[in-house]
Amino acid sequence: MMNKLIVGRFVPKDSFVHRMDARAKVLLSIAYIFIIFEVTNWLGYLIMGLFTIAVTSLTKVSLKTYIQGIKPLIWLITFTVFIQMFFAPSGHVLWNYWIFKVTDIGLLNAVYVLVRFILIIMMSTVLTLTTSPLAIADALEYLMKPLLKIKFPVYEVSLMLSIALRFVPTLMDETERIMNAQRARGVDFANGGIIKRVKALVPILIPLFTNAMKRAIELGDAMEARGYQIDKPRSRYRILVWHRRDTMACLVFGLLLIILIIIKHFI
Amino acid sequence: MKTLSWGYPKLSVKSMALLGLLTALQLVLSRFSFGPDFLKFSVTFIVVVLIGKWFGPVWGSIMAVFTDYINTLLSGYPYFIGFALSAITGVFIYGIFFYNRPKINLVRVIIAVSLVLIIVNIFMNTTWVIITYNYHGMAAIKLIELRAIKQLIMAPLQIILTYLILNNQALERLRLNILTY
Repeated sequence: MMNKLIVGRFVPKDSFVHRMDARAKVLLSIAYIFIIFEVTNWLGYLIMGLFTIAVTSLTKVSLKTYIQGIKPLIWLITFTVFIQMFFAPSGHVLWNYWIFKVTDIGLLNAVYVLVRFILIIMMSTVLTLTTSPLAIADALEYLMKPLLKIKFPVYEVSLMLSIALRFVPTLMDETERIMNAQRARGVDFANGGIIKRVKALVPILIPLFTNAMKRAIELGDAMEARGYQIDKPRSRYRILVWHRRDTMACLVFGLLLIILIIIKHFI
Repeated sequence: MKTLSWGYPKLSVKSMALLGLLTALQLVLSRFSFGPDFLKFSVTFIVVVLIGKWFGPVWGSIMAVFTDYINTLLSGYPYFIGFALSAITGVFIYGIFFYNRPKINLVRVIIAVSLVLIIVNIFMNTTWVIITYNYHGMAAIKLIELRAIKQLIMAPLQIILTYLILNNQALERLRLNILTY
């Protein structure tokens, strides 16, 4: 039922990447996805691969942890690669059976897609392994601040994200507990037709939602009792500081982009 | 017209807490999948439906962007902004059809769920997958076929679950408790 993806995979260490500002890490992890779309040949992928491995080694987190992050997605990756390989539009045919056709271009595309997939997963894993979820929420709040000018509810959104991240583990336990309680009452989630299984979901979902709502009422009361008011200026417990290393990391990314553009257009 | 009465409502402290908890629930439920091996499905759409009903298309869309981003980070999947657009469109459609309606009939549920399945799941999400993984020609067509078949099977299940949850009186009573303060 529950898959093996870990929620909140932060590994506290004292590395260069851990010490970086969460804002820089969020910005650069998004920039990485745009940069990788600039890569169209093997040399570009080689450079991106080496760069990504260098960044992962800077985190001081073992390569095994990164491989564990890729493992749950192995079926998705395999499916993507196979579709890419068997339904190539053109190229020299290497193997042919019924509607399946493997061509040299298809094979090359499949390898490129596999490498791109793994690299993007590794780089997003760098962010989640080296940054706590609350630091990510703080970074998003800072990055949203320019939107205050158009009256975007930055503080409200940020508060709701913090509440969400805080309650993920609690609700995760609660979901498991409710499922076990329903199992003890004889509800079978693993057998029977689809309709039967859908019906079995209602006794899980209703208590889960009602409990979440009761929690919201209690939390709202607690916040009001402590004097929380919307639209009032707020002080901060955690303050993010931008260091020289963050600027350096941004410059390295800029340099990487320039190299990839040169490779794409001139090599 | 009630359907179009979606503005940018100010939220009370309790409503904010509720929206935060529903977002957490969305992150939690995305870790669970149900159904037989050949047709695994997630129930996160139920939370999206409730956010659309209780908070409307505007708040729903705002939170959808961030939930999509955080969910992608926590799950380890590669982030692609297209899926954020899908999340916005989904909650927007549910918001337009369900926001502030105490009683929701089956026809409304069927139209809303079908629109989301066709526009978001078949059209938008498949486009994003094609762009992200660089599918061409036959590979792209096969992918659209496979996804369309899955949505066709999923449609009745989603409609039944959505209708049952949207008209659940216990949830509605609790929600009134939160919004009256």
